Amino acid sequence: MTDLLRVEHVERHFGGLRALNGVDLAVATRERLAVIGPNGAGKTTLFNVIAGELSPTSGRVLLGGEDVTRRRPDQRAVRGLGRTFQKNNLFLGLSVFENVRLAVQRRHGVSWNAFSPAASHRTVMAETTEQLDTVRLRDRAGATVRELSYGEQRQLEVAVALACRPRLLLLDEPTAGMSPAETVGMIDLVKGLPPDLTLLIIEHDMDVVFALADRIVVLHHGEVLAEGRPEEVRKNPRVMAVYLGTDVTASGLVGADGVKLADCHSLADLVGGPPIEGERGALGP
Amino acid sequence: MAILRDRELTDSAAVAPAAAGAAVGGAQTQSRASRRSTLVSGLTVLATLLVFPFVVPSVYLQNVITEVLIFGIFAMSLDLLIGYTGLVSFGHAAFFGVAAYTAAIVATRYSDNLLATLAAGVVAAGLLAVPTGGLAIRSSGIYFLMLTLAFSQIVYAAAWKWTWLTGGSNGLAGVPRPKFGGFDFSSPATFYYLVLVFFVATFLALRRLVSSPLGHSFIGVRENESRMQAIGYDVWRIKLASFVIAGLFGGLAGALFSYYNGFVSPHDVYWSVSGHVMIMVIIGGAGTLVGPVLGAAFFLIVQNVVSSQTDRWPLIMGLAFIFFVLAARRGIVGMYLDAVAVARAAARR
Repeated sequence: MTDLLRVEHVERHFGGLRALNGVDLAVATRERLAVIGPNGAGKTTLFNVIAGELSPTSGRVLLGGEDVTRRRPDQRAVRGLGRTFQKNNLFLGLSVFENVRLAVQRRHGVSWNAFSPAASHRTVMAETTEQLDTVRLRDRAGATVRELSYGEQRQLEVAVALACRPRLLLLDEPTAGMSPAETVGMIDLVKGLPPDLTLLIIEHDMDVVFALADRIVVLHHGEVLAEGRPEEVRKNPRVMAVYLGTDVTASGLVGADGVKLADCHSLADLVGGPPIEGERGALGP
Repeated sequence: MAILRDRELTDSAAVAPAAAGAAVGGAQTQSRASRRSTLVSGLTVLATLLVFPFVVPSVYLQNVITEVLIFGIFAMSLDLLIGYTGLVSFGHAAFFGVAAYTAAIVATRYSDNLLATLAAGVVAAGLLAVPTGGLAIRSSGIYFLMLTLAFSQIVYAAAWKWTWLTGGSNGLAGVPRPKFGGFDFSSPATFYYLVLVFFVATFLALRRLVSSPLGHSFIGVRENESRMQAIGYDVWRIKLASFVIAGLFGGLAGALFSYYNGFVSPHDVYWSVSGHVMIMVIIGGAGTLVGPVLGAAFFLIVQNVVSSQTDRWPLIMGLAFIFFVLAARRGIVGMYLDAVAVARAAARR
C-alpha cells in the first residue's frame, strides 16, 4: 500500500472544543480525495494540521511514510506538500511572474544566491514562464496581483502551489467565491493537472467535488462519518441524515442545482440526481 | 505600517516591466533603454561626487557631504530591513555604535590600519546582529520594534557603564583617521574619497542583493510571510540573513563615522540615532535604496543649515517628517516618480 499521506488518529482541541476527534485518513499516491462536511465539521482544522499550520493535540501525520507531525509548514513544503489557500494568499505587490518565480527559485535551490540578478537564472525564468502557461496566465505575467480579476487570482493561487512541483497538493476550496464560468475553468484546470499528482481537496461546491474526486471522506463533528466512492457516499444513509439534519440547514450548503440544502428532501436533490460525472448543465455557459 | 504598504507600489512598478519582458519575450528594448538611462544617471552622479572636492574647496562642505555618504550607507542598510524585508527595526544604532566603538578602540589602542579597524568594527556589528536578530525576529510588528529598541538600549547602557573599555560618559576621544599602506586619509578630501569608495561599493552590493534571488526572498517575506512558508521558505533564516547583512553594513557606517568624527560617545548608540536613521529612510522613500541616501542628505543638510540659525532644528525636522508621512508616504523618490509620471502623461497628450 503506497499511501502518500496518512493521518493517524488526529485529535485537535481548542479549549473544550474537540474540532478533530480522532480522524484517520489515508491518501494513496495518484489518488484524488475530497473532504466534505457541514460547516464546523473540522475540515479547515484538518487541513491546517496536514499543512502544518496547527499541530495536533494528539495523533500523527505521515507524508511519504515520514512522520512530519512536528515539522513546520516550510519543511513539509520542501518534502513535497503543496497547498492553496481558501482566501487568496498571494504576494500582492508583486507581479504574477514574480509570484511564481519565488516558488520556482526555492525548488531550484538558488534562493540564497545574493550575487547574481534573479533574471540571470535562465532555468528558473524559463520554468516560471512554462508554469504560467499551464494555468493560462502567461499573458498576464507583468500584471501585479492587485490588477488581476478574482478568478485570475484563484488561478495564480494554484500556479504558485504547482510551481513547487508538489507530490501532494492540498486544495482549500479552490472555487470559493468564483462565478459559475470561473468554476468551470477551475475544474478544467484541476482535471488537466498531471495524473501523477496526488490531490486532497476541501470543497463546499458539490459539483466540483463530484467532478474531481475519486473518493470522498465526509467529516462531521470532527470525526470521519463516511468514506467511499462518490456514488457510495451519495447513497449513504448516515451522510443523508447529516446533510438533512439541523447542522445542514445552518450551514447553508448549496447543492448542484443551486438547491439550498435546507430545501433538499433527499441527497439526490442535493447532488443533483444521476448525471454527476462531468455535469455542466447547472454551471451555466 | 502604512508606509510599507505604499512603498510596494514603487517596487512593483520598477520590476514588473522587466519581468513581463523576460516572460513574454517582447518589450526587451524598453527595459534595455531604461537600464541605459539608469546607468547614465548613475555615472553622472558618480562623476559629480568625484569632482566635488576640486570644485568645492570648502572643507566644511566636504565634511557635510562625507557625513551624508556615511549616513547614506547607514540608511541603506536599514532600508534592507524596513523597505525590503518588512522588518521595522528601531535599534539599528546598536550596530552603528558597536562598530564605531570597536574601530575606535582598535585605532586608539592597537593599530590605526584601515583594514584592521574596519574589519574589527564590521565583525563586531555582525557578531552582535546574530544573537539579537535571532531573538528579535521570533516576534514581529510592534514587538519586534520594541525588542530591537531594547537591545540597542542595552548596548547604550554598556557604553555608559563599561568605562574601562568605552570611556563611559567621556567617550573615546582622539580616534585617528585610518592609514593604509603608508597612505593616510587625514585630509578632508582624501577621507572624502575613502568614504566615497565604501559608499559606492555598498550601493552596488546592496543593489545587486535586492535584485538577486535572496533579495527577492526578502521581498517575499515582506509581502507575505505565510505564503513564503507554504512554498517552502524558512522565513526565520531569511529574516536573520537580512538582519545580519543590515547589521554588517550598519557597522561599516559606524566604523567610518568613528574616523570621521574622531570621537565616539554613548550618544552614538542612543535610541535617537536609530530614530534619525529611520526618519532618513522614510523621508527618502523606503524600499528604494536611493531614497534613504537622499533622506540622509535632506536630514543632515537641514540639520546643518537650520542649526546654524536656530537651536530649534528638531522642530523643523519634525514638521518635515510629518509632511512626508501625511502627504508623501513614498518619500522623496515617490514624489519624483509621481512627477515623472505626470510629466509623461502630459507629454503624451
